[in-house]
Amino acid sequence: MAIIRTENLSRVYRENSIEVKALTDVNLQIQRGDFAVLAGPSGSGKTTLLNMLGALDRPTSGRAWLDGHEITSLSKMDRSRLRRDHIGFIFQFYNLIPVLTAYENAEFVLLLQGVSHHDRETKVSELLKKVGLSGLEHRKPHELSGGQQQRVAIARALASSPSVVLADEPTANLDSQTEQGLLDLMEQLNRDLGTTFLFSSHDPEVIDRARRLIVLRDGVVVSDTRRD
Amino acid sequence: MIARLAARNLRRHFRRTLITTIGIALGTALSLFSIGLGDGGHLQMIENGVRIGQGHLTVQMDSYLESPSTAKFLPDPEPFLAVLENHPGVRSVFPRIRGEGMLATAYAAEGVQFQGIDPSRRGEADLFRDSIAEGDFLSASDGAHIFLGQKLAQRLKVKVGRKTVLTFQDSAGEITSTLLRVSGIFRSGSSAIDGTICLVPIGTLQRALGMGQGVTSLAIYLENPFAQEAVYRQLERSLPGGSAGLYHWQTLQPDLRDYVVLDDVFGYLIYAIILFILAIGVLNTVLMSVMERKREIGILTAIGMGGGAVLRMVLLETALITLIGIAGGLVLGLAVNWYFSVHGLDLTSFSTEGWDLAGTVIDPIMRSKLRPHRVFQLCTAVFLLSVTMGIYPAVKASRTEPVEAMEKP
Repeated sequence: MAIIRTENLSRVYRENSIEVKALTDVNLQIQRGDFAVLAGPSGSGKTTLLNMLGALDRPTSGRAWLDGHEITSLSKMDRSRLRRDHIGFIFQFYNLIPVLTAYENAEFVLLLQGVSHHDRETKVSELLKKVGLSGLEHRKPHELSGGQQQRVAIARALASSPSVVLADEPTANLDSQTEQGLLDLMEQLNRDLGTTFLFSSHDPEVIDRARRLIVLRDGVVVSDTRRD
Repeated sequence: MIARLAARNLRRHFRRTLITTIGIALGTALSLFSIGLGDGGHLQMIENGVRIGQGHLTVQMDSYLESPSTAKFLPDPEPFLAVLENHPGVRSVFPRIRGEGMLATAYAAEGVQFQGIDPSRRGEADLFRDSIAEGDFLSASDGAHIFLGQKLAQRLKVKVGRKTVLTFQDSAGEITSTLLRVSGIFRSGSSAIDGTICLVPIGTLQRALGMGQGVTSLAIYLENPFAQEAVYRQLERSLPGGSAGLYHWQTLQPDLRDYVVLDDVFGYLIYAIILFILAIGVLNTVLMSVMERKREIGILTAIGMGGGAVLRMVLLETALITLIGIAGGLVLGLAVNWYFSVHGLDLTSFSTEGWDLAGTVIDPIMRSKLRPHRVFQLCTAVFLLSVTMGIYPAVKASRTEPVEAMEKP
């Protein structure tokens, strides 16, 4: 069953009078439980596609659905709610809130959802343990290594039990050992929790781990290979 | 969580927050000091004005207001005194006769404003009683004595114990004179008062004017000058009707009223400038903070924080910084006001006796008087203005588009 579906999704950027086609008629279906990678060189449209699927940006034309919701027709507020309740984000630069501790960063979305204190505590402690950050809960992002920060970001992305985790080059700033550890972790979470992961990456290590590889070039899907 | 985020965001740029907070605190304290001193000064002026004049409230014939004359007198003040003397909020009531005449000695003659007072009444003419330069105050309500200002005495070349002749129109319009001996000389600090006013026992004037027990006015002094309007309304209902009316000092001393109002207007203008500068400081701090955190706000919105929550967070930061500033300003402002209410602001190096203005005397030692509702007004104004200034950065932040805000650093 498709958790993400797109129909002729296109995005055109206009700068001055120049038009740049970032995505052209992308038709895609991501199945629930997928561990998929969007690969392609820089400028191929990976991040643009993730932004569309993550309801962070609007397409110029075409439509997209996530977990049954048509993202492209939602209001700003509804897109915000959709992101909060259905999508987990992992970014290349971790993007943690610097004034919050690791625990608070992971807890934040649950607070926005209005989850009770007890349930938050249980969930966040469990997640931080799962990502290997037990004992570091009260550290602020600047007191953590890059790998540890990205683990916090993974915990934050998973805290709301999202339908899908969208990860934009999540290992681009990590050394290879940390990268392997994180990929192991995400694979494990995908297996254990059944969470759908969609990455964008041009890193061979990440591409190797993917069970589905979607290659983009100049905004067009040029191949879509399943490796189950 | 929004409150925690807001508080930590303020702490993140501690120095900037501190500078803004100190700015708000100093502005608030400065305004409180200015309000306290202004209100204290006005109160002193009004109190001196009503002591020299006809009280906080005055009963007099309605026609007296248009053209003052000793012919327009209350023939029987007793029914009024019966109501006034036991009325709650009334501190004292003084029957008086006011008029204009000519005071002459063997050497000179001067136009004067004479006041017939009852020296046996406690507290009557205490401003003059407290300013005796030579001799004694009037001692009997029907003695042939006069108590006059130093400047007037100098012009008339008269000393204590010497004779003067007061000439005036009696209640029937006839010119009449009475011989009065100088009992004492006062120095109020106001050359206008010291050069024109003289006090005479009321009984002496009643006899000379042929008005029986009549008086031209009943000067009413209140326990609490700020309760004037409430007492006025009560008295208006209780006093006998007829051709006599009850008047505020503001009606009888329009120069003083206008001066106080005008001074208040300038005061408000100064507070507005101070508050505007404060508000600009707050706007600058909050706007900078929002612009610096563009990426962070982008992340917050990306992970599902709604525009409303972002707006509340920024407004809460503004409110917090303002409240801390106001609290600091209150502590400082109240302490400074307390000091100046006890010790006063000593301006004797500019004038030892004070200044006369608008028919009153400004004391050279000005005492602060800060009333709770004025503190509340100022703090509310500072808070509302600052939070209003926070609306623009808050709206700007709430409209953050995550993709734009999170562009690669």
